[in-house]
Amino acid sequence: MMTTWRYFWLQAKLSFKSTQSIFKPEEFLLLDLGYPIISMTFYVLLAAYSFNPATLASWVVGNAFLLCIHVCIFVMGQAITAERAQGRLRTVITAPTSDLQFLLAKGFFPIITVFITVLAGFIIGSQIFHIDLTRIAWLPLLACIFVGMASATAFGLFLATFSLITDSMHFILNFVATGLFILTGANFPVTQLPLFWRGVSQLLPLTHSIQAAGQVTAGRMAGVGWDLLIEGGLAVLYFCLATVAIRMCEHYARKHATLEMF
Amino acid sequence: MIHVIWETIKVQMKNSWARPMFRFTLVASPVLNTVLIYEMFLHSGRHDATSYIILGSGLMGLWSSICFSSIGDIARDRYMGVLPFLFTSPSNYNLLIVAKTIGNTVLASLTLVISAVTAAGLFRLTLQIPHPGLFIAALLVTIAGFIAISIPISYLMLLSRKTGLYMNVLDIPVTLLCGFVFPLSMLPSWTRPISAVLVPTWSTRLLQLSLRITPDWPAWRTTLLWNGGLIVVYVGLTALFWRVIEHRVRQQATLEVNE
Amino acid sequence: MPMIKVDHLERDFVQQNIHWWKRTSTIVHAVRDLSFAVQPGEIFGLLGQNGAGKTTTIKTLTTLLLPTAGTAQVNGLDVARDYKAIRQHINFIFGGELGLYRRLSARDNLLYFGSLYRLPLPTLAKRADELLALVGLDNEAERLVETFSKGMIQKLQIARGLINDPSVLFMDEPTIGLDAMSVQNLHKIILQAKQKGTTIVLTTHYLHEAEVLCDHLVVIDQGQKVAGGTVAEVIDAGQKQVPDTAITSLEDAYIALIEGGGTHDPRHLGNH
Repeated sequence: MMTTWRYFWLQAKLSFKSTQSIFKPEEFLLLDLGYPIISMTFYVLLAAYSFNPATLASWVVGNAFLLCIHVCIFVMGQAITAERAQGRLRTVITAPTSDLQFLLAKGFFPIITVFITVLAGFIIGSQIFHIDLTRIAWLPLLACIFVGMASATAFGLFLATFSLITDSMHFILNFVATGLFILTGANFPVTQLPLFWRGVSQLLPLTHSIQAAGQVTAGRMAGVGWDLLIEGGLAVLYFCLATVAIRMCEHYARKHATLEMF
Repeated sequence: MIHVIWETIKVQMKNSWARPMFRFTLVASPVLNTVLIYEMFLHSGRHDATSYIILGSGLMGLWSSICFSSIGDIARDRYMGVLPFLFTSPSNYNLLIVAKTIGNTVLASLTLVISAVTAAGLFRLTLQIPHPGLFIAALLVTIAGFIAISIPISYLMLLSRKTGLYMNVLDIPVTLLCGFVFPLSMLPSWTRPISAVLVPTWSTRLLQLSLRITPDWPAWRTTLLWNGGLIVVYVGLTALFWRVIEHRVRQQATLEVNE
Repeated sequence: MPMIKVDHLERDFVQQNIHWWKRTSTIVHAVRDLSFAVQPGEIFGLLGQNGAGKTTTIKTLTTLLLPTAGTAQVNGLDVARDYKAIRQHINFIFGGELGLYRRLSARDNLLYFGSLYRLPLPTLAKRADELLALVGLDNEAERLVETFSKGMIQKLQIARGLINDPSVLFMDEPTIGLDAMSVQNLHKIILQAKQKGTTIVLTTHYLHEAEVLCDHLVVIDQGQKVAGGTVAEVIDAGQKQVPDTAITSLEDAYIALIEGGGTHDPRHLGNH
């Protein structure tokens, strides 16, 4: 167990290192700071116009959570695609380390950074839209963010396995990402959705953690524990699904020659 | 020359359609945006909700397609290593970019149709067009404006190796600043000058004006003038950028990929 | 017992053609009825034109592809069924500049790939350093791969391929695009690996390279074997194709064999 953890740590560290280049201020300002804030501002302003609510707290929370989509859905979901494009996938697949451990190691540091992004997004958004941060119970809020990020990552891992069988990952990931904007209750209450889609929303990552975080920021704790439990359960479920899917996809990829570039 | 432009437009439309991501921005994205904006406006009680839902999501899709296609084309050409050949070939690269952009924008205009069909099909929501002639005129001016703005941006991308980065970060800010889905009065006043120099702001206003039962001719005149004036400025910028860029890309070697 | 046994191997691909909304597919027979055996500790060459099926064969043997029909065994294990067990004992090197982390140093690359093979952690760093010394990159160990020349990248690929001390090393055009000095260095490393008992399967377009390195080889054309054996036996086979011309080198024999056997085109066998 200890050895596995040490392999995992080495792989996580080197994976993260391999994606980092020299710090470029314009990239940081535009992509890591400016774009997420503008994106969040856009949706919160849209809510301010269409809902005209007394407080924008729940939209700030919801859209801050959605800031994780870049890493959890796009980066994790394209982990395999990037390996394939750079010709490393064949080595990774044929090495004895499990594909899932490889993917988890790839996601380890990005999750930590995304946790910080969501938290920073919430604080900056709160300043822009004048939300009172003094009454917030921070520990439950951090728990909401952590559990939400875990299930979104597991979901991203599950999606990543599809790239072994299809070349349309850009399409799938964009579709799913926009779907999360609609179905997780970040921008309008899920009760507005038709019954079927309400059911789907309950199975998606983020829905429950956004709901819980909304409660926490409103100073209420009712149902928070239950929502976090379900969100945690979804994290485990997607993790298990990813394990099964990656085995099936690898077999498909060997049969249909989809391991290499299309 | 017309033949070259027409052939490039045709090839471009075919190439773009072959890319899954283009099909996403063209078809899936307007459908999903229409659903999202509809749900957000569902209980708003605002009289302009329908135009924001249908036109707003269509314009969002149109702008996304331009960001990821016309502007992204340079990134793709550069990544595939064909940019140096295109740039140094005897045919005018200028002309190729113009033709490619026309092809993309015309195809991307379908997003407006898709938004309208989605709203009608899913929510029984239709846009009342009291003066079809005026609406079509506004639509043509909109398409011309979107073509005009995307060409100088495409040229600017030749100067940078980070086209992918800018392509991504141009999408939402323009949607925000041009009032596609909510009025510009929602934004702080310091953003007004930025909105004013972006032609999509005036195209959006023209489209909204064309939906009024009684045409507001003075507003039409002003908005048209802004549209026309900005298109002329963008064409001027295109010519200027081209001269500067031709020299600077050779000086700074930005035609090649640098990871 | 041979280290590798390929028996009537076949591999088809479905090639998709998209034209607007219309989608058609064509079946391409990349490998057809291919059989050969590789003995332990030898260097075995796969020769053929571009698209002849060499890379497909290597990918099947390295468990990256399943055979459509026929069987292939590595170290007595079936590539379709026992792929996990095979992966412990093999490694491969593909030509070109892909396959490494460009933003990691040479040493970090080896540490990363070594960890994927679960090499004992205390010895992993030592193994990486040994291999870097073997390929002559010990002075560049901490340099980022993105600053490497083609030749240096290829040396690092070799070190990566040897990281798990494989029993069988597959090399797909490993010397492509390298200068004469680098090619000679790589040949030395390949021969050193052979001396240590590693079985090597090599594809190459450079017939002189095959002549110098390979103990046995097969010539494949359009997915099918057209000749096989030692270099001398392949030259004999080429001579039989053109009895009126004197064949003295592998290159002449190869051209005679490909020209003599290349009358069929199995590629486009129907639309679906």
